Amino acid sequence: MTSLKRHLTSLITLLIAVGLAVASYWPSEPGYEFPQIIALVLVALSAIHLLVTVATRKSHKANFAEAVIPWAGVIPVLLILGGLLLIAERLGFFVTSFIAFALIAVLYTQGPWSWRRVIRGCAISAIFMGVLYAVFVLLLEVQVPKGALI
Amino acid sequence: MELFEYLPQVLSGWNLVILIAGTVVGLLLGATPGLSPTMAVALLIPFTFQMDATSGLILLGVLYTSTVAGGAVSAILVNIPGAPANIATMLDGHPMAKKGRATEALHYCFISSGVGGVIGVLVLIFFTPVLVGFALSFGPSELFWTAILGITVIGSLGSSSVLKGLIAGAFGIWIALIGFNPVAGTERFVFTEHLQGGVTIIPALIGLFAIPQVFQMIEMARQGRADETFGMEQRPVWTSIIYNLSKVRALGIGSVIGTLVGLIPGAGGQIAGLIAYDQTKKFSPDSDAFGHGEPEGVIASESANNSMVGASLVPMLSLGIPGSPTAAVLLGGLLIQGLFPGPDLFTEHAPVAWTFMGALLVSQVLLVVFGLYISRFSKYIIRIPKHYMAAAVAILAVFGTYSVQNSVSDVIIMMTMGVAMYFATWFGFSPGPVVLGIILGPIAETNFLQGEMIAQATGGNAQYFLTGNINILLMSLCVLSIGYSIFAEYKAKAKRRSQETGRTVGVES
Repeated sequence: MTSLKRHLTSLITLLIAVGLAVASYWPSEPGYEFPQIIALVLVALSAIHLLVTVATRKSHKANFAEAVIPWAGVIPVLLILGGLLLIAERLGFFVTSFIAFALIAVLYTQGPWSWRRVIRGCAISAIFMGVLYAVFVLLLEVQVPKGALI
Repeated sequence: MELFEYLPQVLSGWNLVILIAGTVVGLLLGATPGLSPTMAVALLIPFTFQMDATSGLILLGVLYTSTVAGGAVSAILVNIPGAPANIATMLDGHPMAKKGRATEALHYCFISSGVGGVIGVLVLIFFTPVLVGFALSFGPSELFWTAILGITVIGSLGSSSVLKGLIAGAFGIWIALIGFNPVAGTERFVFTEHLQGGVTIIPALIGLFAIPQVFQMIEMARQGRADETFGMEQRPVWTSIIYNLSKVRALGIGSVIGTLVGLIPGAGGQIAGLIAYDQTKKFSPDSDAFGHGEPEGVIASESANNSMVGASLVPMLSLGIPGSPTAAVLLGGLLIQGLFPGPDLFTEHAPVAWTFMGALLVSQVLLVVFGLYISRFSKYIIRIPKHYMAAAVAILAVFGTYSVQNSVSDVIIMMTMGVAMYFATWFGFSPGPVVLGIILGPIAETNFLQGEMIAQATGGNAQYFLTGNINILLMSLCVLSIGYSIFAEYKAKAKRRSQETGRTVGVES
């Protein structure tokens, strides 16, 4: 981890801890004593972490092979999962999940883009949805939101 | 002995079906690169809701033990450990596969897992009742400190950085306090309607363990990793069994180290496998062969990581302190069934506890039988493309979470926590302490509040919580675990620094 990344991590952790402490101390009602203690512990730990990070020198060699978040792979999945949550209730859990599975299957298959790849992704998604339907709806009798479709 | 009394129930129709199905599913899930035992157990918890407590626990326990053993398949065949516990297996298992001895390595893996597993479960059976007797003398203050000990131990020993582990544990406790105050019943921290029911265990477990792995599998798919596979040679099983059982030193070192590491809360299977591997190598007359396809390396690490499984359940079932992150998930499954670890489990729910332990013992035999059978088809399992696995896990996480309370809010919480955890892992935080905080947080709060009430009627909070032999012992253990972890972290950093300096000097000269 680079020095900047380590300092930022410590600072953001401390800010989150302070935020939780404010949320715990803000309501002046009974029932918040334990969260207040935990929030204080969290602030103390985060402050120590920040101090340790600032005090510790990190060698330049450790920064050489720095791993970074693979945004190119992460963002499409985030969008797909976010979309799934947004429309699942309206369109139906099974249809939305079918689309999400098929999108991941098609997008991340390596090689040149082709209709064969799309059909294969959709077919595997459909088979998986069939298994899920058998397990959750028929076997476990879970009533998933059907929305406009299924 | 109670075990023999309840053994027929283990082998009765439905439980036997669960045992067999759980073993096969666990082996397959474990063999799939990217699916860790913790995630597999978390993902399958919703399936136990339709079952009675005994069957549900049997399924989770069997999945735990068989996924750890199954994880060796991808470690041997594709050089990617199915679980962190299989890291040491990879060191000699993969070179064996490269030399055309893949089937042989897989045979040793399952036979050694079975032997180690039996020893670990026997320790579980004989040690747990002893510790339970000790837990009988626990009141709210002792239970409060036990919960704190559980979090500090996993937070400090189970993480790469002590401070980050403790921060994650405290954050987990705070998250668990969203929803209702357990004594007054008033709402707190309900910032959105989705948080009205609080953050329950299952969405948190599934989100924290499954969603980060979805992203990791996607990344593996993008990089095109795990494509190298090997042909499987023909080898009679009996030859492997005779050879494996003749390696008493490797089996003994592995099983004993695995059991000892399992008994230490938070230590985890990867440590067990690596220590056992290292010790077997040191005691071997042919230590240079290790790392180049030495069967004893596979035998030691696999017997260690499976003997760890049974032993890691000893502190979990007796004191409520899980021995590993997967045991923490299992603790969640136990609480969801309305069962609490400790004396009550062995008095009021004795049939559940003893049938569960008996099932774990039987599952070791099934693991060997099905493991040896499945090993010949392993190459097909590891060929499942990562992006299909990622999509399947993501969708299964959504359905599994929803099925718990038929709540879309739970799905949103699961996904939010999972995505947040994925990013947190990039900054050095791990999900284990957060999960334990979420599981043990409410237990800590309830006992803290009950203790406060008792303290008001006696000598005050300080006297009630900070005095008494057990309280002092538990507080000392908290300090000791943190202190030891700080020392170990400092030592590891110093070693790294000296190696770096050595390399620099070497290059410069």
